[in-house]
Amino acid sequence: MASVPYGPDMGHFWDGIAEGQFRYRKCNSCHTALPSGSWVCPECWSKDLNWEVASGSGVVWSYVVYHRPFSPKETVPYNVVLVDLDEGIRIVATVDCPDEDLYVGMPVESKFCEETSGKKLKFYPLEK
Amino acid sequence: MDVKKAVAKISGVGFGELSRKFTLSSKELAVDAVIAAVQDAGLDKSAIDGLIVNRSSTAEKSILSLRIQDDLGLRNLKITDTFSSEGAAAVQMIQQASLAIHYGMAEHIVCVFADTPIMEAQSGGDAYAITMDLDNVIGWEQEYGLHGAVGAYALAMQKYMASYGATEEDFGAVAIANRAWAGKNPGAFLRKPMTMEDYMASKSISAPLRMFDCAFPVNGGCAVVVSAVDSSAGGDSGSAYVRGMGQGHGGYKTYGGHDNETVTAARLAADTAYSMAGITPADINHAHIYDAFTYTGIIGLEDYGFCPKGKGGAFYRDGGTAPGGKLPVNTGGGQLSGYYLQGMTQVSEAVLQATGRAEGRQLDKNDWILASNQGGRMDYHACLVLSCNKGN
Repeated sequence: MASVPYGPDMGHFWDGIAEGQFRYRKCNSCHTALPSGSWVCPECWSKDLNWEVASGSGVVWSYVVYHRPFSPKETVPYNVVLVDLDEGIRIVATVDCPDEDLYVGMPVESKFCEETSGKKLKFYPLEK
Repeated sequence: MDVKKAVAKISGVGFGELSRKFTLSSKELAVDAVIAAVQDAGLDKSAIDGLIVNRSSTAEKSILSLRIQDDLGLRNLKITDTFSSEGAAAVQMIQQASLAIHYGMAEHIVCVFADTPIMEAQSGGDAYAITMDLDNVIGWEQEYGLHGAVGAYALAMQKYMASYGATEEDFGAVAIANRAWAGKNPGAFLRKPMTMEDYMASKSISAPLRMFDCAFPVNGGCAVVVSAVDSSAGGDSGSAYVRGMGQGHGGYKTYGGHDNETVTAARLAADTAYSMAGITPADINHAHIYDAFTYTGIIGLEDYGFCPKGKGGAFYRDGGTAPGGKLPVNTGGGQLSGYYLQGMTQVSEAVLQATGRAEGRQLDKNDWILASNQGGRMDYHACLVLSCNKGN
């Protein structure tokens, strides 16, 4: 997916997805882990941000199960989750498991799946 | 507490036709609402010296703009502005008008909202199915099918249930209480009494969110005239005095473990407004809490200080907000069962109550009334404390 005209250049992020890596930003000045789309640190206003690679493990912060389709791309039911990655950032994704197994606080691990549009980041339940 | 005099007053309120069919454009609805509000204030159009327009953030700019100044032939405006900052904008434009009037920039400013979410090729549900950019990577949410406010608010409901042990019945209680008020309002769209069984049977959209957790979209317009406290406007129909105003905007933070789902900046808006009015939440006679979703009815009750965190659902379940309850809330049926005119739903009902024009649902005490608005994913909050008295 191409970067948008207004906003930070996300090429390096999408290259990471194609290579099976989830890349996020880290502030070189105050060392806060930041969302991938950050271009200035909201904590200290430094623009000196590094790219880092997430380990891929995290915990479900919340989730939703869609029963009404809003676009032809999706087949209901499907789940969308907010995952808190161990590195300290929260991302939108999906967990590859029966919807009724989902719960807030569920430990999950990432995996990259091959789809027609390219690689896609998903999570699966981590057995304790 | 130091009770202060009003900043300004809402001297008139008017509507453009509320409907479930597309018959009039936003511009026509806005013009009709302005004319009705100016007549209600007992003013001639030559008295209007300010115009503020609130367009829905889901609508194109050309659909409703300040160009209605020319449709209305307003020739000597001393202030204009356009607000498109989502659901908090109705209250925000009244606040801006009140400040301008208080400092003498203008005397009678008309503030108008209009929207047509229902069009020939679009249902009300689809109108709000815009992408929510939650994590700052453009295109990421679409990849996972996180569509619309229904997705973001379902995530919030689920988090709230996990954090506070709330149940689906808590959300149902909000829908049922607001429906009970709607039954007393001839202008409400959904008036048939609702049972918990009805709520549970309503269609799941994005679990845990159901159809009956959502506002009822209508096409329509609503305008108010904001006037100087001591002007003669509103002499016949009455005025709602603006005694307190506040805003709170916490942002949406996707790092560092911040809780955007159950903690909101409405607390900031509340503290500022109560302090300006010189009151506490216990003084409020009735409240009009932004209820685009049942969940916002619960978290609004908590963050505006009417019950402890996590106890909002119990407050509704115990009938605290329903007709006869200790704190009547959304007495016109709110956005869930009355009509969804974004922030103007709460404002219009508060004004009707303050001026004694709420007919069969009219409340006796109107000394202190709260009207709250919120926008986005609960990131923008604004509120008014209104009163039937202008203060000392």
